[in-house]
Amino acid sequence: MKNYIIPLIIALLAQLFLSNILSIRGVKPDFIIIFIIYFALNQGSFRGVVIGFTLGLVISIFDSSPEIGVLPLTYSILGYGFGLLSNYKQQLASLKFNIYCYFLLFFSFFVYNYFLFDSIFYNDFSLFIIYWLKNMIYTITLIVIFQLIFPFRK
Amino acid sequence: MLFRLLVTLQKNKHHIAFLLSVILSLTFIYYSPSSEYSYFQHSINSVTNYIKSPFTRFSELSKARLENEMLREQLLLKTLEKEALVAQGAENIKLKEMLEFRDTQKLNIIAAKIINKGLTTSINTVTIDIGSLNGVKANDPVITPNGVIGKIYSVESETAVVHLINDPDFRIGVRFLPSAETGILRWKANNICEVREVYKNSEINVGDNVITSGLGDIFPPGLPIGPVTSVADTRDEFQKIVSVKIKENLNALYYLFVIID
Repeated sequence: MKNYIIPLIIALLAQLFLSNILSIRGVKPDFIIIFIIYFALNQGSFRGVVIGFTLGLVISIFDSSPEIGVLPLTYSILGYGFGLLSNYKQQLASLKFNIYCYFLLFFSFFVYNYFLFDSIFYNDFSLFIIYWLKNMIYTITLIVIFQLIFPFRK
Repeated sequence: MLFRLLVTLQKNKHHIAFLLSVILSLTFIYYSPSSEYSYFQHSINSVTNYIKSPFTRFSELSKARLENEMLREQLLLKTLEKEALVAQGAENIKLKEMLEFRDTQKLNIIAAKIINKGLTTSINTVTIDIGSLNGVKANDPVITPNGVIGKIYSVESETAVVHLINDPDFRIGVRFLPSAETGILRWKANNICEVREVYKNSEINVGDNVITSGLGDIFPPGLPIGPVTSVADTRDEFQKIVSVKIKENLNALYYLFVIID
């Protein structure tokens, strides 16, 4: 656990101070997601859920988000899902494992965007898809880059 | 029984934790935050905003720099547009003057646009966009509303070269009004021409008008040249030397007229 304190502080600081600077056309990268993925993959789903929910709550409070429960829900799903996947790290083939990982990411982003843009989801589904992809692509690109340096599965 | 329950809970604690987090999150989502929470969030935000301020300022500075560059480009474009409008306005005024001039003339004149300058290096010339197909011939006089500025030097089918008055070899026979004395005009410098071969006893004053005399075959009589600016009458000369100002700015010519008949 102690090994995660510095990465956690770095992720929190990056999220609070850097994400606005690095935003492209209003889309910000999510460094907390990257931390939760690596944390849950190594610490399991219980700790993944706890850290995901707590960080979601903290970021929502600090980032003056009007929808306070959306981030805790998204991060909890990620923590739980990646924690469960960590049990099958060795059993699953590399490609299959990565497919599950990215499916989980797509799903968590879907949940996040559904609760933020629920009216768009019901009125203009194609616009919702654009929002979903737009919000997802930046963070997923960062995760892919991270994964090249620190693979999900060593 | 209790022990078994505890073991089951311990075994499934990750599922229970996930379920709890989902319930809590959904509660937060569907029940709007209370006023106490809003106040709490507002207080935290003021602290974070204070800590964030250097980063925000940096971000704002970089945005301001980009905006500055964009505004500079826009300013340059607007300046160019304005310059183009000013030039068009000046051209419009010039064209209006020329139109009025053409309407008041009894001579058979045809308007021409300058398409090139100084094609021939040995003499001062401009090329115009009309030629023999328009009835232009060599030695036809060339004028503007301000007076004579040259004559046709050579003609092609659709273009012609004008020999300008500011060429050192250009000569015109002129007459002074009201004295009716005559002389031969040639270019000196800076829009000033000299008229020589003027009798010493002739009555010429500054401000007299100078027109073409019509004594040669090229220029008809009565075309305006310009006003007298000075009269030199020295003892060692047998004649007077009269300076005449050409009103037309030859460096800024756009359009001119050729007298074709």
